[in-house]
Amino acid sequence: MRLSLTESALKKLKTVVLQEGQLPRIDADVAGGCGMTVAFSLVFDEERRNDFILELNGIRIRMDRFTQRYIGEEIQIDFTEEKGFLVADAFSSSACSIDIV
Amino acid sequence: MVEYNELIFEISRSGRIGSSLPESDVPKVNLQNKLPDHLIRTELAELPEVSELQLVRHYTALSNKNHGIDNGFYPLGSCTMKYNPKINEDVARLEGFSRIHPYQPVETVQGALKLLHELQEDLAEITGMDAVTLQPSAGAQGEWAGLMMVKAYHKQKGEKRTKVLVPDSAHGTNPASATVAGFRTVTIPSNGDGLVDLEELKKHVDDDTAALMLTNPNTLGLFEKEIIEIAKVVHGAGGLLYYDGANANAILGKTTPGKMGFDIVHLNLHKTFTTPHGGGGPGAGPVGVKKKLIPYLPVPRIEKQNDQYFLNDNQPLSIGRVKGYYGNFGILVRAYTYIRTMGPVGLRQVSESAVLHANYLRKKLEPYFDSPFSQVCKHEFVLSGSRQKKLGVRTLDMAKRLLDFGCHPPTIYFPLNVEECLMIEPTETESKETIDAFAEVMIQIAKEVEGNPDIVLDAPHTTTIGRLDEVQAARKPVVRHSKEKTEEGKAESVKS
Repeated sequence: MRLSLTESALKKLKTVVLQEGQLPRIDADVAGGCGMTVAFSLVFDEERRNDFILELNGIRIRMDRFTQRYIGEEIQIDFTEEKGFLVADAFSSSACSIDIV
Repeated sequence: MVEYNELIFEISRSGRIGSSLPESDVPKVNLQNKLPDHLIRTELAELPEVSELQLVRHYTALSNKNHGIDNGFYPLGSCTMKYNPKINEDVARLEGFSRIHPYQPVETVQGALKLLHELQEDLAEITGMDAVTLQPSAGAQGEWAGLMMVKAYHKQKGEKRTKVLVPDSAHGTNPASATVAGFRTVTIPSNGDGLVDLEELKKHVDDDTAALMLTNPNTLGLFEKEIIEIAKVVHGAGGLLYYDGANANAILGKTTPGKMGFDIVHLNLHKTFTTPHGGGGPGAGPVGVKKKLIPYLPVPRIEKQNDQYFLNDNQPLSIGRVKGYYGNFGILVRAYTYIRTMGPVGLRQVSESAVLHANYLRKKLEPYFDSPFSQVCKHEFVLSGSRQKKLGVRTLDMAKRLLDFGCHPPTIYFPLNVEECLMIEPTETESKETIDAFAEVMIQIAKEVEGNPDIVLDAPHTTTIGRLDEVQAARKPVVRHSKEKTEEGKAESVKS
């Protein structure tokens, strides 16, 4: 898995003040119903039992096993003032039963 | 042992046949003299060539891999996967119903028309509406037809309203139906009790509001207690109130959408009225309306005059025909059979038992899962897997683990306003023993998450196929079968 941070994301992450025990996390958000959509976000929260840590440019980022299962091989984290942190992998596709964005 | 796990195309062998036809006793016809060139095949269709026995084993094996209500527990919230009584099938197969033709003159199908007319009246009584169309062939098409009537109603009044309000706890199809019908959807958030936030609703209701689409009880299994006030707000601005009947199983014989103030109702016969969940097959989504919307109902309408049933096309304001012939007649026969088998007392008992079962199961599971709206529910309830998420296990993992116990998972990750949601609807047709067994399985899984999470994270273990690579399936779907064959004549697996 290759993780990259855009310049704006790195700059922002370096300035974020974290509470004790918190780290940035790439997290899979699932939305269901008749189909299923998996999207990824960057949140700041506490450790989960099966987390592993990615480290890049001095920034430590958590991910749980579920997220690892669904995320692609190449992940980029961006930051904009309007939308906050954006997590995307190199792939995007759609199918009727599961839609990974 | 041969397990018949291959595709039907993969067991195909050139020249093998399933049945022999007798010599033709009519003269051969030269197709080139009868059809234009572009309609004549230049090579044979790639059809599988198998024996009858191979065919039977293949499809029997395939059917055994499926899960249905006849196989096991199926608590899919909002989908109402209740038992479909076999008497429905017996009646639908009666020759008088199964061997008539939609092109027959109406005087020769009076019995069928009588059944349809009575079903319309039954559904009107059950929903508190003034008239019903049976034409729409699915719940979603019923929604669309209902919204087209909304549009026609406003147009007739000289208004062009563009907005349809949909609470975030509504049936999931509503926003899509509103969009397809040409409206703009506005989502109304729930309040802390899981009900429509009345103040938020008031902020969005205006003279551009065509309708509010509401599911009551909503997909959290909670009854909208402020429904009379909600109706007042929407009607006060000239909008209409649309009832999504996805959860009608909870109110049968207890109340009606008509009493709540709704103007339009669609019903999913495959949910409340025990017709088969078609998986894309024939369905029916009847729509009921109040008097003011009758002129806009689809045509032809099935009507009765002087003890004769006939089709009435004379409705100038109608939105038109939305389905061929009489709708999916066989499905309508099944629903009629169910209603007549149960009777008014039986239908009332359905909703009472459905609500009792849901609350019984809710109380058993609440100590083990987060319960964001811990209150008496209707026919279904939601739990949250937030507690398990902190331990690194997601709702989807637990849903996969349920497969190991022969249970279909509940609806998951819907409604969207509940984190790691499990929406559970046990239905009235399940026994106490089955509900207890399901509760025990869920409790076991909750304990596994704490003590042995890997068994949940790697589930399912006992199914024919284990945990699928859903990412690969979504990103590189293989949906086409190659027609190339190996040297043994066996078809190659799909590569594209």
